[in-house]
Order: sequence, then C-alpha cells, then structure tokens
Amino acid sequence: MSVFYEIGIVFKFFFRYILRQKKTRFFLILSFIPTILFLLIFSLKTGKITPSRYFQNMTVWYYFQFLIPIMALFFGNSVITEEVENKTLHYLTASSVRKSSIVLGKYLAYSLITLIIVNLSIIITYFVSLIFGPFNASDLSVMVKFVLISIPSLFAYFSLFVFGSSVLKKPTIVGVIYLFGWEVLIQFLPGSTQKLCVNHYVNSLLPAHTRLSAMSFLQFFKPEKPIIAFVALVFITLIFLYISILIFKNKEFLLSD
Amino acid sequence: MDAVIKCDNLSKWYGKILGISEITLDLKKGIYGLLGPNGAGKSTFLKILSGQLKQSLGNVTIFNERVFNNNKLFEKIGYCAEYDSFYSYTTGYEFIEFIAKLHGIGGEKLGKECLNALELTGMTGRMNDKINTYSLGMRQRLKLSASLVNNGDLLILDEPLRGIDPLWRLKIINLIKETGKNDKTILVSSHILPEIEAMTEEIILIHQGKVFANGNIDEIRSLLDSHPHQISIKSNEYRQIAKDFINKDFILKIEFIDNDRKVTFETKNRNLFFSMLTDYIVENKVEIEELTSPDSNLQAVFDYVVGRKS
Repeated sequence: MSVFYEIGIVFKFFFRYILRQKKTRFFLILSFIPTILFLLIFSLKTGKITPSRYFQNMTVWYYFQFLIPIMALFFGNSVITEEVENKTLHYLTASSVRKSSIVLGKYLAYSLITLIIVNLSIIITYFVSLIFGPFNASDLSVMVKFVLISIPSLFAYFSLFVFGSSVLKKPTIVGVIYLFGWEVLIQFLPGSTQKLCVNHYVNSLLPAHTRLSAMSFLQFFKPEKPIIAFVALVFITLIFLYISILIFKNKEFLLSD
Repeated sequence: MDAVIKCDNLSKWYGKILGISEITLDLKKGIYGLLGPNGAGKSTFLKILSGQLKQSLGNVTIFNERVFNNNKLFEKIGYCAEYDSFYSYTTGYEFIEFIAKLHGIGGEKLGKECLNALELTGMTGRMNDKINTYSLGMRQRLKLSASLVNNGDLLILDEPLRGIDPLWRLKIINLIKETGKNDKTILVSSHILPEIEAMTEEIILIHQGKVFANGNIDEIRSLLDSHPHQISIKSNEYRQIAKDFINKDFILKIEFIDNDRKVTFETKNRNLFFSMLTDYIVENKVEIEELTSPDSNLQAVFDYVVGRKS
C-alpha cells in the first residue's frame, strides 16, 4: 500500500467517526454562540456597536483567540492520547499501515472537521450580519481573510497539541496551561518573548484594524510581517508534526491501567 | 521446518517491575496454549509479539523478521488483544471493514473477507448495529473476527474466550482448532487449563515472567494433577462423611468448621475422591448442601508446581 492510500484509509474512517462523537456536536454548538449572540443583540437593538464591527471583533476574539486553540487542543490530543486512553491503539499499530500514516490520517481528519466547524460558523455569522447592516465589500474581504488565516493557524495549533499527546500522559492539562496561562501572560510582557507562542503569529496575520479593535490590550504586541508569520506557522506545523511522528514510531504506549 | 516465532532470552521490565524474564522459545506451525495465572507475564509476552511493546533485552523474530515497528509483517498476523475496547460509535461491520483495510485488504475481496470473518464468529446478524449495543460476549466475538479478517499465517489470541457464553465457547474452540489445521500458527493465552486443553496439546506454562514448562500436555497434566486439592462439603452428616473417608489413602488432611457444618478434605487424587464420594452419596443417601473446591484456581496449582520444580 502506498503512503497516500494508507493515509486515506485512516482519514476516511476517522472523519466519519469524529462526526458521530458527542464532543464534535458539543463544539458545533459552541461554534454558533457568536451567531446566537448576534441575533439576540441586534434583534433587541441593545448594542451600540455596528453589525460589521461586531462580526470582526467576535471573529478575532472568539474564533481566533478561543475556539480554534481550544478545538485544536481537544481534537489534537485525540490523535494519540484518545487511542491510548480508550485502549484502541493496538488496532492501528498491529496492522500493516505505517505509523506515520496513522498520525497523518488522524491529524488531517480532525483538522478538517475543525476547519469545517469553525469556518461554517464564521461564514454564517457574516451572513447574519448582513441581515442587520448594509452589504460592504470590505467586510466580505475581511471574512475571506479570516477563513484563509484560520487554515495555517489551526494546523499549527493542531501540530503543537499532537506533539503534546505524543509525549505527555495528560496533555490536556498542559495544553490548557499553555493556552490560558503562557499565551495570555506573555501578551503583557515586553520584548521578544511573545514570539514563543503560536498566538503571536496568528495575531500577526489578522488584518490590523480588526486586531486593534478587538484586542486593545495588546500594548506590547509587535506584529511580524504577514509572510514571516505565515512561514512561522507552516514551520511550527511541519516541525511538530514530524517530531510527533518520530516519537509515535519509536515509543511504547502502555495501555494498561 | 523453520520456527515461525523465535525468542532468544527475551526479557521485559516496566521500570523496576519484571514483565517477562529470559524467555527462549522456538514455535513452529501449530496451535500453542500459553497458560499461566493472572499477572504471570502472558500478555506482556503477547504484546511484544504483536509489536505493542519493545523487549528490554534479548531478541524476537516472527517469520525471520524483527517485530517492533515492522508494519509489513502484520499483513501476516492477526492479533486479538486482551482489552474490551472498540471504536464504539461504529457498527460491527464498519469496524471489521476498517481493520481489513488496515491489513491491506481492498477491492472485491474486502466485502467477502469481512462477511466471512463475521460469519465465523456468528456476528453477521448484528453486524449493522452499533458496537456500544453489543454484550460482552458479542464484543469478544467481534474482536476475534477482527483478528481473523486478514487470514494471517500467525494468530495471537490473548484470552479469546473471556466473557463468551458456553455455547459459543465451544464453537470458538472448534474454530481455533480448525484454523490451526490450515497450516497456520496460533498462540492462545488463558489462565484456565481446560480451555487450553480443549484446543491443543502443546502448552507453554508461564509463571512470574518465566517459562517453566513447555511441551506436551500429558507431562504438564501429570504435574498439575499431583497438586493436593481441597474439597469442602457442607452437610448435616459432615462428621459421618469425615469418619467414613478418614482411612482412605488418598486423603491427606481433614478439617472441620463445626458452626458451619462443614468438612474440608485435602486429597492427592481429586478424580478418585469425587468418584468415591458420588458412590458414597448414592449408597448412603446422604444429603449434601454444598460442595466447593476452594483452591481449584490456577494460582494455587502453579504455586505448588513451581515449588515442586524449584
């Protein structure tokens, strides 16, 4: 079997499997919270903010700062840790499929589901904004940019958390500390420490006016050039994915209690 | 004939805890029973053979190839793990189909092989139901189907009869025996001697991580049978029974529990004891409330055999 065929087998099975999982339904509901809030706020006419501004702020704040990282954490961990905790790993590893194909197939399945959930919600929220405000070509362009930026952002976070699940027994706790501890803390530190987190490069890619409007607290943030930020995210994706595969190939995972 | 499985001083530690120690074996084609009490090292040994674990010391080859990280080798191996674990949101058929694909089965053969594997374990009737609706016995049979689907030359079965009802237990035993006749190698683990005895005469006894007997069942059976067995009888006439059996030469010890109306015999010949007890009950019309064998578990037998051999 070729590597691509093997990845395809793993990808197809897990893509369908993830769709049936309860946590996928939970994240799907979670992804539509901004849309529901949008409808509530603008139906009741309680907000002083314009629909266009609300859409941009909510996307930057909710999707890029919260939903993408948190989904990457829980789904990224699933790539290896879930197999160990559920004691199903032997079905994959005692088979004729390469271990690298197992990691890549699962990685792609989980990433694609997350991309679909996040972007479906971003796009629907954008169209809801059109119900309450006039159509603006620049808003459409911002929405398209958001969708495009979500792809390298999500892949980078996913790789980081797949790496976590390949080396740690309880990667979720460490992941939460990383996301809501380290990534938040270093926003308030001057100097180049900020470069030591994925969030820095994601924020660098976001259109400047949307970032400034949604995250005025980023006093020490010095954005990278978009091309450097993009390359950094690709580099993070590839390097962590490569290391994860190497670890997965050579590590023994003890499935016993 | 070349050895299918070749182990040379195979040892495994979990930190400071010993899993298996210096196992040296050459297994050719046929059915082998891996017998030992819980915690003896059976699963550790099978996990090394199935590529789940790396040995700490020694060497292991299957079909003259290294095992760990050798995915090509697993085209020829079916593995039934000890865990009752599945991708439970799938149906039985989807699960078997996925396992078949993982073993390189595709195209026209795929559906046929999946149905065949499910049919062998009687799972076709429920194959379109979700696995999380299956009973323990059905899940165990499904797991067995998964190990059979690639029609491998080597089958590694870790406690395959656990949780299976008596009717299917017999059918699975026959299935394993039949599969073994088709030029295949099967290694089955269990901690229940009669289960293994029903499948094969070739037994590997494993205890505290070491292989201490390996060979034909007759030799091992005689070792096990000479173990003194305890048999407890609860009856109103327990003292009379004790009196009538006390002079038999196969009785080693008698103990009473008066407040429970119980007598416990220790015998060196369990079969003879039971045969005579049956005749005694019929002849004397004795009413027995309870008959138990408190040390019939394999651990007690193993402790005795290991003690005798050392």
